[in-house]
Formats: sequence, C-alpha cells, structure tokens
Amino acid sequence: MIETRLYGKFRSLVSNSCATEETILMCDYKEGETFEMFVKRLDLDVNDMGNCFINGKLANNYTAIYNGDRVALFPIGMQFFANVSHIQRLNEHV
Amino acid sequence: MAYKILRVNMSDLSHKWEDLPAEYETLAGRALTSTIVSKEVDPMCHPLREFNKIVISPGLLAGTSAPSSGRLSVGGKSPLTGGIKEANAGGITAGKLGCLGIRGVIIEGMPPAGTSDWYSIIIQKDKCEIKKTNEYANMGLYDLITKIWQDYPSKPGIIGCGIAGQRLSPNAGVFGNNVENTDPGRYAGRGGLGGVLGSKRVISVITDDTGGEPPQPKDKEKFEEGRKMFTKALTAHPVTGKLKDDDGNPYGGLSNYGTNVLMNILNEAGGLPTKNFRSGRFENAAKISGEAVHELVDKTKEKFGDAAEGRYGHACHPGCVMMCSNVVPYENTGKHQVGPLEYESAWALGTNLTIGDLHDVAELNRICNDVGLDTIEAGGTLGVLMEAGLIAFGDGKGAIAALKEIYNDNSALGRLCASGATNAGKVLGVSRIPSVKGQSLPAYDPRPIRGIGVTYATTPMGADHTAGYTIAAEILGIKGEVTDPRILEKADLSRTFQATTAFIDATGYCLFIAFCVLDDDNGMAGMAQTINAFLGKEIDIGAYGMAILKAELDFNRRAGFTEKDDRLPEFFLKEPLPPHDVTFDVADDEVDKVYKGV
Repeated sequence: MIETRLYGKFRSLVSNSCATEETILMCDYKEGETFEMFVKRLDLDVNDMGNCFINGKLANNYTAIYNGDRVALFPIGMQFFANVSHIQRLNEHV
Repeated sequence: MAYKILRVNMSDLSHKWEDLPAEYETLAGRALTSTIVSKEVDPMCHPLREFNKIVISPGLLAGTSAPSSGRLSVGGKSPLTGGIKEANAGGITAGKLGCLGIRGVIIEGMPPAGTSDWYSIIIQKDKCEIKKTNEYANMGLYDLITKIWQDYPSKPGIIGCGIAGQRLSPNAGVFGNNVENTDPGRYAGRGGLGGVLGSKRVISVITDDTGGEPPQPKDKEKFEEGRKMFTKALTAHPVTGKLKDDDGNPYGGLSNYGTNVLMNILNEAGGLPTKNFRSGRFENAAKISGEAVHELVDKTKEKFGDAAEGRYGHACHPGCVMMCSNVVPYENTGKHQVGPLEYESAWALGTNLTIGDLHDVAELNRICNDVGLDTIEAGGTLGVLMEAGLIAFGDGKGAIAALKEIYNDNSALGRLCASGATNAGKVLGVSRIPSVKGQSLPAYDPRPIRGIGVTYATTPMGADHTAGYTIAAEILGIKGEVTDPRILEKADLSRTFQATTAFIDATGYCLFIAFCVLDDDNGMAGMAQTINAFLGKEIDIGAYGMAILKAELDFNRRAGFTEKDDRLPEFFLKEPLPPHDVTFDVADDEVDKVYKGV
C-alpha cells in the first residue's frame, strides 16, 4: 500500500478531512508506477503540484514509487519555489 | 529629498540632525545599520553600557509605492551573541521615517548610573523630543501601544522595548506596533537589541509622519515601470500571490497560510526540529500549522460574523502585496489572541517543545509579544528548560506558567526564561543547547538541510535562517536550471544567499520577495529596476551585499570572533536525526570556505 498524505485542497479527496488532523489516503501499490502515473491515477494534475515528497525526499515526475512508500502531495503555492509545470530533481539530502 | 540622520544622546538627553553623508547615499536598512555599527561602535564594548549604540534605519524604498517595501532594520552590538546584530521587522515605523526623510536614527550614550527615569523619543517632521515617560515603564506592550495611541492620536509608528528589555534580558526584542495598533508583534526580535534600548533607558521611539511626503525616485518613469512589473510578478506567483484566484479559490501560499505554510512541508521533508532537535517530524504538526490557522479563522468568521477578529491575508506593513501575516482568534469568542503567528514562532513555541495545542502556542506567542521577547529564542530557552526537566515536554500550560513568571520582577525562573537558550542551558547543566554564537537555532534542522547549517555556522548574526535562506535552493534547483544542488558546494551556496539576503535587507523589501525574484526573471528585473531608478544609478547586488557582510565580519573579528566560532554544537555532528538518520557532515574546512579571504 501507498500511504498518501494530502495537504491543502487535496484533502478533499478524503471525506470529512480537516486541516488539524493528518489526511491520509491509503492507495494500492502498482508495480512500475512513477510519481506522475500515481498522481494521474488519483485524477490529479501534475501541473497542480507544489512540493511533493516520497519518504521525505523531494519527488519528481519520474521517481519510482514502491510498496510501503509515504507520499506527500502539496498543491501549487505550498512550496519554497514555484515550479509551475514540474517537480524539481530529487536531492538525496533534502 | 535630502535625507537626514537623527542622532540622540541619552547621556545628556540632547539630539542633533545630520545631513546624510555622501558615502551613505545608497545605504539604508541593514547596510546603514551595519556600516554605522562597524564604524562607530567599539567591538569590545559592553553591549549594555554607554559605548554601544542602537541604529534604526528604514529600508531604502520605505515610504514609496514599491510593493512590500516597508521593512525596518535595527542594529547594534548584540548582548546575546557579543557580535554585530541586525534585526528587521514590518510594522509602520519604516514607512513613516521614510516619509520624514530620516534614513537613520542613532541612539547613543546612556543616562548616568542610578537614573530611575524612563524616556521616549518622539520624532516628528524636523522635530525630536526626548520625553520622560515613567508611566510607560513595566507595562505589558498590548496596553502600552493602546496608551501611546491615546497620548498621540496621529496614529504613530511605535517601536521599543518591553519589560524584558527594561530588565536588560539577553533575549529582549525590539517590538513594533502593527498597522491597526492591535498587536505589538512586529518584532525586530533577534539578538537582544531590546536590552540595548533598555540600557539607554528608552522605552519607546514614536514616529509621527504628519507633514511628511513619500520619498521620490530619481527616475520616476523607470521606477513606475519597475514597480508595475514587480507587483505583477509578486501577485501572480503561487507562493507570494493574491489571496484568491479568479474562481474564488485560495491561491497564494503565503497570503492564505502565512509563513506557517512551512510547518507541514518541513514536517514531510523530515527537517522539522522536534523535541529540542531530537527528530525531524512532529506527529501534531498539522494542529499548529498555517492550514490549521486558516481553518480556524474561517470557522470563527462563520460563527461570529463581523465580530470575528481572526485574519489571514493580512499585511504586516502598508503596501505589502504578499500579506502573509495573520491574526489567530480565540475559538470560543472569535477575538484576537495573537498576531502574527509565524512559522518560526509556531515551531519554537510548539513543535520544538512538542506542544500541539494551537491556543497554547498562540498564548505563548502573545506572552512573548507582551513582555518583549524574541519568540524563537524564547522557544529555544523553554526547550532547554524542558531538556533539564523543569517542565515536561508537551506541557503547554506548564510552559505558559513558566513564561508568565517574567512579569514577576522577583522571579528567578522568569529571569531564566528571558535569558536565552545558551545562558539558561549553562545554568541548568544542559549539554544539548542548539545555538551558534549564543543565538538559538531556528526552525530548520541542519542535518538534512546542510546548506542552512552552513549559514547558521557562518553568518555574523549567529544562528539565523534569514541571513541566507538556502533551504529552497537545496530542495529545488536554482532558478532557471534543473540544478543538482549536490554539485554546488555548500559554502558557495551559503555565501551567495547571505550576500543576496543582505542586499534585500537594505532595500526595505521583505525577504519573502525571494520566493518570486529567484524564480521569475520579470520579478527580479522589476525589483532591481525599482532600486536603480530610485537611486538614479545601477547597483551591483552581489557587491552591495558582500560589502555589508564584510563590515559585519570585520566587526566580529575585532570583537574576537574566529573561525572556531563558526561551528554547530557537537550533538548535530554526532546524533543522527530521524527520519533520514543523517548528521551534519559538512567538514570544517568546507564551512570555512564561505568567508575565506573575505
């Protein structure tokens, strides 16, 4: 399973969510899926992403997702720098 | 406009107006405070005696129509670090000083030993009065700013020191009133400069700009062109942008969630220092986040209507378009509890202490505002008290009770709470004190975020994230390129950002413009054009920033600082931080490269 933590407007993917509690959506793992594919599976637009993390490290569209990963999705505007069309390259040290 | 410097002598209660020297023509804000401190203050002086000075300077564009340009710098020798200090804040004083043509206020000397009187400095157009105001002493600052606006109905800017500063506490900040005068929370907080004011027996500096005029740029047309370009870039950027998009949905990250938008982001990144820097994640981060404040404000607005006082999208100074400030309301009444609650404060008084109750965190912030303390250092101090077992981690009510001891002149615990993390830690025998040069670390752990660790270690200011905000550049590529930050040496990264930051600190622009200008060419071009058009000459940003840093480094070296002081505490090098389980492993010689030869 993928533990997907949702922030900002993405919280609406979980009913009865609120900002003061963790909003977590558990998703099935699909082998070979990248971050971009995962986002699309949730019916979200990669262009709408702010800073997103996989296991605490910055994600980009091509980052592979593995079973048991913790994925955090922040919408655009919730970030350090705007990158309106894609997620920046991973740095192994945040 | 011919700019002036107002020099106030508290030894004989005199003042004089000086023409701004030609060599200071382009200097303002941090550039002016650090230049004057470096030239006029003996680096070996005792910071709480007569030879230290307080220098107050509005940024270069303060009072103009440039967006988000009303920041105020306060400088001097820091009682907390023993080195040079510049702290800056929003509020309304900078714009008013700008409109009066005052580029700097220097407060020097001190009344004779044994003096029991307290004074306020009232600044008006071409006029200065040093007035005995003993009735202002020992007041909570929420009451004081209300009283001053009653005494001076022209709605002046007010900065000064609270109870903590009047007692010369090492963590006393310089407060400033907000636009509505409902909160003294616009702090030039770091480094104990409130105590320097207190040592000079000055409680408040009151600025009334009646009869003043906005400063005029040398090239009005170019200035206006730059202003429009920059404003457009700021309001369009997803981080600094307007409150709502065209569909009425939340847009700007800062306007909607404040700087505290970072709480959840840093938490996910695993770099959110928790429980006195033991972990990089806090299970209750969401409860005290910017999103939580946003939700609470909406909830109380719905419940209390026009009577609700909670706010987001609030400007900390007139003309700010980013509007990242907020007011946290009491949930049961909708009334003003504290404003602002910044990320750094929510972290220091919340996450760092594992306090996950928003109202407890807001109350701690309110107490800091009322007594005149820097919230970051206050949180660091409480963290050390918890480390020593005086208060339990997570005990919000216990932390509030301890901090309230500051109101009691005879309370040793109160004095300890106002003394700063390093001092308190030494007294209590704590070996995990997160500070550099005596100043407490802010809200980014240096182990996973090594560039900020280099900044903490090397900036002349002591541990200070604003001195060189490398977090974004490390997490993301540098503007314009998909750059792997591993390629950039941390020293180069830190130095570049420190110099750029120093420049921004001189302009009057809020540091958060960096989110836009480092990402948007038009934003950078527009911002640079406003500066160049105002001065009527081209400014080399890097050279300007480095000149400020050189003055500060020179002061610190003459004060006795060496490379040995540019180090993080030992525990950062030895204790891996979960969840990434990394230590700060930047070698000393890499750290020393930041300013080698400078």
